Amino acid sequence: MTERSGSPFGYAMLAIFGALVAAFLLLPLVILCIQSFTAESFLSFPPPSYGTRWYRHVAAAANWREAALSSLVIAAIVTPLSLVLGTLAALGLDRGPMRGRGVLYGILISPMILPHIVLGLGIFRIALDLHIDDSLLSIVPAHLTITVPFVVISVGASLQSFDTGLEKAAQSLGASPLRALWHITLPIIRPGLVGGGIFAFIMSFDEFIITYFLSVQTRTLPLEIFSTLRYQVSPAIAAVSALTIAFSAALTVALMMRGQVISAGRIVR
Amino acid sequence: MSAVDLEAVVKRYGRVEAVAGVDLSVESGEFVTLLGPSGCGKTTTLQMIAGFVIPTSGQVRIGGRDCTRLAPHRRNVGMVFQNYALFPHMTLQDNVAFGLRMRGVPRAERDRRVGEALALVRLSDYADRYPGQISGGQQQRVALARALVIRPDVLLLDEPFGALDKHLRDRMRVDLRELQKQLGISLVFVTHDQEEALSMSDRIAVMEGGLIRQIGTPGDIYERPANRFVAEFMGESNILTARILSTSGSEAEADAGGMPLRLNGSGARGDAVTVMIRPEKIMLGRAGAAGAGGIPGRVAALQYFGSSVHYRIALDCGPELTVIRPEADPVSRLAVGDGVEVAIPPGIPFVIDD
Repeated sequence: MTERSGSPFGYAMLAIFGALVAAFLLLPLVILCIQSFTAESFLSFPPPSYGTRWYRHVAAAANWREAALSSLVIAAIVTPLSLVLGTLAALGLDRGPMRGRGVLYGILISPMILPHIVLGLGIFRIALDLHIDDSLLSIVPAHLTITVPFVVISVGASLQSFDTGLEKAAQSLGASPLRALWHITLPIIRPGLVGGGIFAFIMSFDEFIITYFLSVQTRTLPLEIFSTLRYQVSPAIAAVSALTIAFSAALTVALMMRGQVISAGRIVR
Repeated sequence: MSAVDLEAVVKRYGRVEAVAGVDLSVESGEFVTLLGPSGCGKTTTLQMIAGFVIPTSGQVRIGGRDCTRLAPHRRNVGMVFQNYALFPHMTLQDNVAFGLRMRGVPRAERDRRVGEALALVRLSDYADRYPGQISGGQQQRVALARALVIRPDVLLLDEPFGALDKHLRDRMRVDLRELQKQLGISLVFVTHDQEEALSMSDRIAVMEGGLIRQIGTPGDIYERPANRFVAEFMGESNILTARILSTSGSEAEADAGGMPLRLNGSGARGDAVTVMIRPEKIMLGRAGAAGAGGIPGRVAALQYFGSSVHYRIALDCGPELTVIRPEADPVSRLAVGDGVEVAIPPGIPFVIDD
């Protein structure tokens, strides 16, 4: 570790401030998680008694299982597609002509800053015009509009530090440009691919607004939570939410561990 | 048969001519250096042999085959890059094996050839390391092994020693030259370092402004430069304008601002010619010392380099000369202001194009 200069007082302030921000961000989640372990049939805080009753209920209920499954299926389709599209776009931006690069980049990542309600409305109109009834066929492309930008950014950042001389070296050794990409570029930018992929998966898994516009018979987990909430505030919702949080957190931790392995291990740059 | 032929090769970027018409033949087993300052077109020329740059016009032949527009991976050319460009995610073994894998060489033969190549550069013990775990000099040798293992028609090296310290660079020079002779490989080497070029090459092509200004053996280039650019680029030189007084055969008597010269080269009486004199070929003696008997002058400045001393001599008749003497030369006890006499052996002043 490098040594840093600074007064102990400054350090203490920094630590306190950091802890406050973390508490502000995490407190609602912590309360939700505690509530999910209630043994009662209503939500309250703190719960009068504890138990895994609602987790068992969720695991057994057909509607929650189906919703979780369709969310997973959609995310599992969206993630590889986002990776392919996003990586191709990032490569195009990185290797293509300088001119117009900034504008193109802005357009590609614009879904990140557009309100999802606006995006959802627009996509809904298109889906209506195209008479797409099967909701998977409309939800997957809709999710792609919000997941691809994450891959573009993540892979784009990896490409920034990638030495294209390595591709030339591979070509001089007899690799076609495509094989150079496969054997050299992609393995080296893998941290960017993994990061972008995990982001894409989480974004698709959590997506609510756009999916709400488009869904006909498909019920994703966020949709199921919403519709359940409308007529009852069941502790089952807290349990499902806690599971979703745990799942996303696990993916994020996996991502961070990967990053550490890579920076500490073999790939020394 | 020649390994590489360039015929009237031109590369234009918009209005800029990076390479303005280069003809070059590299014989089989020959070590040819493209030497010149940055922007002279030497790297572009190399890239056209490798296939990373397609010439605007002209022809590139490798092993007699027209490769002008052939993609790099379809040419059998080995290349060592300035920053080595080793694959960071592969062991040294896998780095060296890459070219053979791409060629579909069977596993057993591949392992054998990779082993040989690593042994050739004395890195057998490091086969399982990653490029990030070895030194710059070792990386350089891996890059060399990786390019050699595919048995290329020609090996191309782009300023390969630029990132190494001086000691290691000298060592690599000797190693590379030995390896090249031992394997009988044809090699094109790009550098801006004239010492590197002189010490390794069979022939040197000195480039400037996208053209080869002179091509020849190191001796030719150093002793008999064709023009002022080559003379100045190849090391210290005195370049003077002289007027021819009389000629006889291939020699001429001339006068350079009051200094009498006996030139190697001819011309008509009264002609003004440009003359180059290498500073280490000028004799220097203390004024009045026995056997000096030369043109009188005075030490205007000196620089001490350890093995040699560089003097700036102001001649009484006007011109200034740079003179380099070995440190061991007894005359090297001279100090600034000392009176000296200078003698230029006949035939040493060499007439060049301006």
